[in-house]
Amino acid sequence: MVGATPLREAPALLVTGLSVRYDGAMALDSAEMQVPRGTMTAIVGPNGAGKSTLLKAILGLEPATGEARAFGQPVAQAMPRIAYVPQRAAVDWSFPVRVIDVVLMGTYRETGLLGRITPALRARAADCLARVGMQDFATRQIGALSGGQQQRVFLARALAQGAELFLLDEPFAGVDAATESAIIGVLKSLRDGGATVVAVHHDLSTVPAYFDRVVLMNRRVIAQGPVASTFTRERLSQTYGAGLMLAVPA
Amino acid sequence: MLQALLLQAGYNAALVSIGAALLGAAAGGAGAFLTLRRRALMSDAMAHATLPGIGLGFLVMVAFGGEGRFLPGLMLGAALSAGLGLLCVQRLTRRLPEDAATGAVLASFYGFGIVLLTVVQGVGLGRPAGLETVLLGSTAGMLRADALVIAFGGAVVLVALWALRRPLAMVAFDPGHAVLSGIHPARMDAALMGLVLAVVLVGLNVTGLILIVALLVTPAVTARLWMHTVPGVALLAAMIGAACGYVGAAVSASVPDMPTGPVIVLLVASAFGVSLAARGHHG
Repeated sequence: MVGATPLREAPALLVTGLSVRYDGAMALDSAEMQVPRGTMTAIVGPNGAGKSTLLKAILGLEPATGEARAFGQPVAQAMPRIAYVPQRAAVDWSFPVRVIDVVLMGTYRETGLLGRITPALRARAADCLARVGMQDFATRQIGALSGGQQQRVFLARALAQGAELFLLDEPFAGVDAATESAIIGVLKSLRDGGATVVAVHHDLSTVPAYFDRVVLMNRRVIAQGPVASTFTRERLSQTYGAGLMLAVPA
Repeated sequence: MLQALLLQAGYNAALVSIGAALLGAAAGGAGAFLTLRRRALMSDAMAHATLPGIGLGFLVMVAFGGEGRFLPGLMLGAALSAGLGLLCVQRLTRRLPEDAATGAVLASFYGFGIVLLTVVQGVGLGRPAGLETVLLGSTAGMLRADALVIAFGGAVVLVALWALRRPLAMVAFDPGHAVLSGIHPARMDAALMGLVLAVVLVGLNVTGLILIVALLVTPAVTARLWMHTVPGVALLAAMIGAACGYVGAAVSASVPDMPTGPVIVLLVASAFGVSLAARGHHG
């Protein structure tokens, strides 16, 4: 019935039967996921559960079978409305690039091959840096920053894209407390402005405070829905195995 | 030698020096993106893989009654054979690590090329004397038309690099983000390899195919010691390449039997050495 849903009301993300195989082994097993617009969703699960793989498969960065639609369109067509913040380890930190240049890379779709970087685009990039609290670092080398500061710069690059759906791969992994609160502040303001946020998340203790929805997965999606009804001890032990001992709400 | 440096050693010598400078600029600029993409060794394999094509190109042109050393004909043979070499590397990397595949292709194509060249010179077809200058470069017997081809090729590569600088940088820095921004990394890599191939072909008569890798890589790594943005690195690398190409061609033209390639490579190596001493702790 997806086809019958008017585009204006289609969910921000609709994943149907998405599977990824590595050398014959299932890394992601027919994932089904629906993310309503204007929500903040945590993707939670044990190591090797295929959380990053799910994001990459949605974006087409990983060969997959099945379907992913954003705002009612195939993801490839909706790409200008989607921003992705990769895991920290994904780039070469010795690369000769300044912070402001990284943020400007977010505007490539608007400038195109020969397009000029206009003063207006520069101003927008500077504004995006300020929103993540990194305005004083614009001319620093990206490699000279701490891990948390780098993560904030990549969030600023995503902001510069002007997207409506933000996919983040462990945005809080290995960052300091200041960065974590800065990032969560930005993500919440994005949601309050009508954007949709989906983040792979490791720290179960902060799920209820940070997110309104959760997707529990271990190679396949085990449960999804509002945090209050889905993020339960029973569902978590289904996801992580019965041995899990954690201070999570009953 | 001073006359050569000041472009007063005759019209042809001046043209050769300017051609070498444009080649150096193109090599430095292309090398900046090549090293950022971590494909330096690939360019060495490509350069060595040109040799069989040069030998075969010579034979074909002689067989059709032409002048065997006609430069555009040799370049075409070199391009086809380098393309075949790249294809072999790509196929082999499905089964081998990339460095092993690159090394295997480099050595076997080069070995085959040397055998071909030896045979060509042994049977005395055409006028193969001087064909071996493609190995180490020699601007001494260069024709005016050759110098113009070099200058034009260098200029075309520079313009193309300028046009593609942003997508090339984005693919090298973060290929995943480049894909999501609508850039095709495979196409950008192919474009970069095409530009590097153009540099290799244009450089055959100047640095020769053995040492062109030094003109691609050394100015780029030197520039990275000083500059902190992609345009900065590419621009400085192009300037270093241009200066060393220009001076190297002039020196080689004024010292009898001095091959051009080694002189240029010594110059860029010196620039790197000085930069390392001055800036090494910044790297």
